[in-house]
Amino acid sequence: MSVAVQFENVSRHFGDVKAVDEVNLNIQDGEFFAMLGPSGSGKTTCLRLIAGFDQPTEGHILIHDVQAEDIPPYDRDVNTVFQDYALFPHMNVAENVAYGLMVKGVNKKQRMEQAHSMLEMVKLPDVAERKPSQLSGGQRQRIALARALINKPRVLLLDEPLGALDLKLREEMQIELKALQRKVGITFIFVTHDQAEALSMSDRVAVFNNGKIEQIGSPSEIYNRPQTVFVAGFVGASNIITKKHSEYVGIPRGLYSLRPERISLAVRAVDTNTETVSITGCITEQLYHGEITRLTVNIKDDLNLIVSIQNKGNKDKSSTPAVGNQIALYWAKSDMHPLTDNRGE
Amino acid sequence: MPYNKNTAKASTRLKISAAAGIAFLHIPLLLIFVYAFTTEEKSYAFPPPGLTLKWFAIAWEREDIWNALFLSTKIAAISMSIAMVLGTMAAAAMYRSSFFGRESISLLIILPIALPGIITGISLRSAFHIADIPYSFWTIVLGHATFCVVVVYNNVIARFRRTSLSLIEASMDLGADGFQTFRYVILPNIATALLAGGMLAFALSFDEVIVTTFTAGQQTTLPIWMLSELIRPRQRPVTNIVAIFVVATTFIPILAAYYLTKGTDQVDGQGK
Repeated sequence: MSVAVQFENVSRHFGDVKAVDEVNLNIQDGEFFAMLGPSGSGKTTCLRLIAGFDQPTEGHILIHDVQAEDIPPYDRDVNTVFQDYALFPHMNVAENVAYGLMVKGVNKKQRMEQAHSMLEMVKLPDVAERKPSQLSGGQRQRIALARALINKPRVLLLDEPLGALDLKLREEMQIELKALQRKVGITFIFVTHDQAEALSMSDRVAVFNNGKIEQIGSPSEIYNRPQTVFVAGFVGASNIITKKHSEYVGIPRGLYSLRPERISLAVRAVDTNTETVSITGCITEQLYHGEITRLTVNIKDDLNLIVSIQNKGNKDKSSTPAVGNQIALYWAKSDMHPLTDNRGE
Repeated sequence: MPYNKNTAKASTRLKISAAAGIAFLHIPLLLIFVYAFTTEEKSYAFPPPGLTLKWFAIAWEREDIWNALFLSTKIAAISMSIAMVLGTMAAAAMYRSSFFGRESISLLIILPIALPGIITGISLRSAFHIADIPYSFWTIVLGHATFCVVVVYNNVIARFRRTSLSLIEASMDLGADGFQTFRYVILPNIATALLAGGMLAFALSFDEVIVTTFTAGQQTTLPIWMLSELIRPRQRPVTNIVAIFVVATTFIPILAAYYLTKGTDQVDGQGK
C-alpha cells in the first residue's frame, strides 16, 4: 500500500500558539483514518493543511508523494466536506454538486448527468432542483458529500461532518459513510471529537492533544492499550492508578490505566497473587445507564475506582450492590496498562 | 405579550408631536411640488394665484438644464462605478485579513462620510491646487468618489460578514481559482448589497453641492445650477420642476436599495 498523506515534522504556529506541533504521520492509501481530539487540539488545523487552506510554519506535507506546500487548494487532488457543509446558497442542489465540473469546463449536459448519478449515490435523486435552504441537515450533509466526490478525489477530508446531526441520524450516517468509503475505495480522513464515532468507523485513529499526536493505532489498540494518561481518559472511561495509588493496590510502583469493565465484583476478597489484584472498598455512588450500571468505589484516600457492571439478567437494580456497602473487587494484572505521563504527574 | 402591548400604546401628546415633526420635515417638500404649477413667476405667494403646466414646457426647452442634467448623471455614474470597484475591493480585504492597524484603516475608509462636506471640499481643493491639477470634470468625480466608496464599502462588508468564509474555501477546494471563485460564488452572494450600495452612491453624488462647489471648475452640475437659479428673479417655477426631478432620481434608487438589502436579509437568515 502506498502512502496517501504524509506529515514530516509539521508545525503550524499562530503567534505563540502551537496549533500543530511537530506532527509526523503516515496515512495509507484507501484508509479510513480518524483524527480524534478535543476542540483546539490541532486536528482541524491538520485537515486544513492537507486541503491547502493553511500552510505549515515548519515541516512538509506530501500528498501521494508530492510535496504539497506550493500547490494551491484548487490544484490538489483532495476534496473537503465542511463542518457547516458550505453549500452555495444561490445555487440549487444539482448546480452545487456539479460545481467542481463546471469550473473545470465540463459541458452542461455531461455535468448534470454526473451530478444526478452522484445524487443517486447519496440516495437523494429527487432534490436536484431545490435550494440548500430547503433541505434538512441530514440531506445537506449528503449533498456536501456528493459535491466533494464528483471530482473523484484521491483523498476526501471530512471535518466533523456528523456533528450537526441528531443521534439517530448520526448513527445511520456512520454506517453509510463507512459503506460509501468501501465503495469508492479512496482515502477518507475524518476529524471528530466523538471518540465512539472514531472507534466505530475508522481503520486507524490518531489521538490529538495540544497540537501533538498522543497515539496512533487501530481502534482496539487505542482502546485496549492506551499509552498516555490523556488517551486513557479521552477514549472511553478509564481508571488512572497513579504511582501513589499503586502502593494501596499492592502492585509495583507505576502509572496504569484500568478500564471499568475489566473490574469484577466478588463476595469476599481473595488474595492478591501473581495474576490477579484483589481489594475491598466502599461504594460511594451508583449510576444506572441502562445496559450497564456504573459504581464508584472508594478504596482508600483519594483512590476511587469506577466499575461498570453489565445489567444482564437483572430486572431491576436491587440485585446490584447499594451505596454505602463494602465490596470486594478483583481484576487481572494484565488488564492494567502502564502509561507514560507526558504531563509530569 | 403584555410587555409589547404596553409599549405599543403612545400617549396622545406624543402622537401629536410626532405628527408635527413629520409635517415640519415634509410640508416644505410638498410646497416645492405645488409651486411647480403656479402661474406667478417672481415670488412664492400663498396660495398660488393659479395653476398651470406651462413651466414644464419651458423647462423642457432650456438647454442649460439639459447640460446640467447630463453632467450630473455622468458624474454620478462614474463616481458610482469607481466606488463599486474600490468599495468591494476594500471590503474584501478588510473582511478576509487581519493585520496590525486594521481598525484604523477601517476608520479611515469610513471617515469621508463622517467629515463635514466643507472639510472634504477644502482639503481636496488645496490638494488639487498643490498638485497643480486643474479643476475639471474629473476633480468633481474624484471628490464624489471619496464618500461614494464608503456607502458601497459599508453595504458590501456587512454582506461579507454574513457570508461564511467556508463558501470561498469550498469553491477553491472544488477546483475554482481566484477569479472563478469571485465570479461564481462571491459576486452572486454580494450582488444585491453591491447594487444597493451603488444606488445609494449614485443618489449621494447626484445631489451633492458642497464638495462639488470646491472641486468644480466652470462645470455646472444640476444642484449647482439650482443654487444659481434661486438668485435670479425670473422663471422661478422652473427650478421647482428640476427639484421634483432631483427628488425622484435620488428617492427611487434609495427606495430600491432599501428593498434590495431588506429582502436578502431574510433569505440569508433562512439559510442558517
